[in-house]
Amino acid sequence: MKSLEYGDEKISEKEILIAIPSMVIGVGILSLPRRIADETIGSDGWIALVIAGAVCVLMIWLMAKLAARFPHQSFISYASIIVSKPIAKIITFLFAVLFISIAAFHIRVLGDTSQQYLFNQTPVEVVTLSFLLVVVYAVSGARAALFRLNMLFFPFIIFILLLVLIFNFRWIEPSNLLPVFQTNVKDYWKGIQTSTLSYMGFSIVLFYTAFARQPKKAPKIAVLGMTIPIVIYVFVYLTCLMVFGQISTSNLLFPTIDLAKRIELPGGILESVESVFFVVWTMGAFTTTAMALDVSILALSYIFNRMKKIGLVLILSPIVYYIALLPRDISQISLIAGLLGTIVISYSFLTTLVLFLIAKLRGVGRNDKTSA
Amino acid sequence: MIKRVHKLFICCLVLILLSGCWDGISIEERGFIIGMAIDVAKDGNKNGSNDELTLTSQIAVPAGLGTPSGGGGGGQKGYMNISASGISIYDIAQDVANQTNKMPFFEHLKVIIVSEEVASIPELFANVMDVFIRNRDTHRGIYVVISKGKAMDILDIQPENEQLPARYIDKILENSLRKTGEMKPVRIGDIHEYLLTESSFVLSEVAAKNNRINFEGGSVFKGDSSKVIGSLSLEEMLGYELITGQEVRGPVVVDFKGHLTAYSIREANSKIKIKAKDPKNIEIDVIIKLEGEMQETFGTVKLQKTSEVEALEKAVSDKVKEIANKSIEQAQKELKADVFGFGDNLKKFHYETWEQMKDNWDKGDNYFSNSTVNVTVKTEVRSDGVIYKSKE
Repeated sequence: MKSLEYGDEKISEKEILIAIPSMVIGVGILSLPRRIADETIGSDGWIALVIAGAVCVLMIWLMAKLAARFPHQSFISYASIIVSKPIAKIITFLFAVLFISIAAFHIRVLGDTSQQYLFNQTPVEVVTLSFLLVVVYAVSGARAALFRLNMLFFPFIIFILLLVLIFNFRWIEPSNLLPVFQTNVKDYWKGIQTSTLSYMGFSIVLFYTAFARQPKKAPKIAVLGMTIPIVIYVFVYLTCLMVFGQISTSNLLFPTIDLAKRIELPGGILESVESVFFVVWTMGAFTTTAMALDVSILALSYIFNRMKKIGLVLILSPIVYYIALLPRDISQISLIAGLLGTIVISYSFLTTLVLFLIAKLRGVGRNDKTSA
Repeated sequence: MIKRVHKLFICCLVLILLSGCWDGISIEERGFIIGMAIDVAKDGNKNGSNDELTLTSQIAVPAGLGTPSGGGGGGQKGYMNISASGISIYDIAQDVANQTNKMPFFEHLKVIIVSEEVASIPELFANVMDVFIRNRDTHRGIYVVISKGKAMDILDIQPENEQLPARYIDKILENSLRKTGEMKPVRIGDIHEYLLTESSFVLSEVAAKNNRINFEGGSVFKGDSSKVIGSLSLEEMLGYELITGQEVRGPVVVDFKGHLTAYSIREANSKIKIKAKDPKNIEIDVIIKLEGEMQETFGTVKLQKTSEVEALEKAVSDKVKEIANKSIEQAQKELKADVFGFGDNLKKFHYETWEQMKDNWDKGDNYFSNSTVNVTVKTEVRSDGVIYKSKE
């Protein structure tokens, strides 16, 4: 099989704009309403979602700003300028490890969920493996192709999600949103933490801005791209609440799937709309996994720059598969989800802040007059 | 040459891999369960913890259904009912697979009928519902009704115009009777919420009579005792529906100037406003708004003058108020169960008060029974048909 190659490895603004929501919206959207509803009272969860979103928007803006200071330079090269080469290598390597774990986690959750709802008899190992093979095929080609795939998939994902929300209009009970503002500060804090975890993955900006045609515009575009998942999450969450009520939502394993199952099209044209939803959700999980794997390959290729890309892919994929199959059951998976999310978010926040501050203090990179 | 072998090998591999499907069940091997009835088993002990249940599953037989124009296929029935007994519902359902040559398939399940006997045993109703809420194939839109006698008898009703009894019940619940105000279709998703919040609720009560389904009223499920504790009559059901603001359509027969007059509700709305200053004396205002037309009169009313219209409106309002008050009295005094969702309203609009009193609302000290409920009815008569008078 010959991999597809494009003339240039540059990506346009639009592609970055779409890549961020494609990365952020992954397997988490299925259980997100439950996790938020579990910690807040009434419809207060949206506040947590928005606050966490705002923090992430700020973070992604910093990341893009940092990367844009060094136009067309890879993460490791600008990190080396800011904090010597060996430290930059360690930072990059840790990013690679984290993104490998994200990819593995997504593959596992996708396998488990598909087994729950679609293939009862098929072993989860087989579902996981076949999904991994498709992902591997996607990342072994050109990077630009991956971005173009995002562009292709994203409208479908949004369209079907909107459809699910709209068709549930019949069941909506707006009074389910009450009471409001009853959550105490402690629970808000918990809700914000949970929400922040659901936005993990946007640190791809650190790596992908290097390929942008106009890095100057990157911060603005990254912020714009980040608002898309926030809006979608808030809508999905509020719809779940209005349809099921807060207590039911917090007791459903995957409220978003139940939302899709709730749909009854008039005349019984299509029963079980959730199968369409599953297809689209798989596309969403696919773009997330593929990009996570791609970023880790990118990061590793900076460190081991003599290795060929396909070699890295072949080494990484068994590792991903092995990690994916490590958790034994659903409780371990959710434990790992929380842990992984916390590590990924805090690590990316910390690195970005430190790198940004040092770059600012030492005055390396393009100075502020031109970048502002 | 080697390339060719290569290609051939890949083709063979694809053939093997693509044809294999772990989850492949051909459609004729699936047993499409469309209705289920749950009874207490005859020889099971009734009050012990090991209530033996009898589960009757109605499985569609596609061969007997025929085409819409061609009728059933040679006198064959379009369904079969299979009963089995056991302790766990899931266990019994799997037993069905052994009795027939089909794999049970729950995705098309439409109605669950639970016998009053099962629902009257504490906790059992909630336990029985668990498997249906938990299962990944069932959806949250399944209707649940209570049967007065044996639940399995309902699945034996064979209507002339429908081939599947479960479908017949489903259609009745969905279309016609929802609008007459005598019954409330409750879906399993709603029940999940009621059970989680320990609220009381009303389920439609049906019985099989002369090969027809007959609505007997409503069974009241009390949240904290987790069982059916009583019932509402058909008229009380209408009052209940009007108070909770369901989609009610249908006749209200009033005595107007000494003659029977039928008023038909076209649209009904209700608003509940609660004043929750003192938890021990909650004031609840229920405002019911009706819109409709005069359909039938035994007298010679001519709705020409405004005063006449207003008089009829008042007569209807009084009648509806009476009906509503009866339902409230039944709920407050007899059942001591808040079936109207006032508690939910309190939680939504008076959260702080609710948090203090939620353990004593329709349980404990039962503030619900002591609360004052004021019903106001506003009726509008839009028209009186296409004639003025039918007789002198």
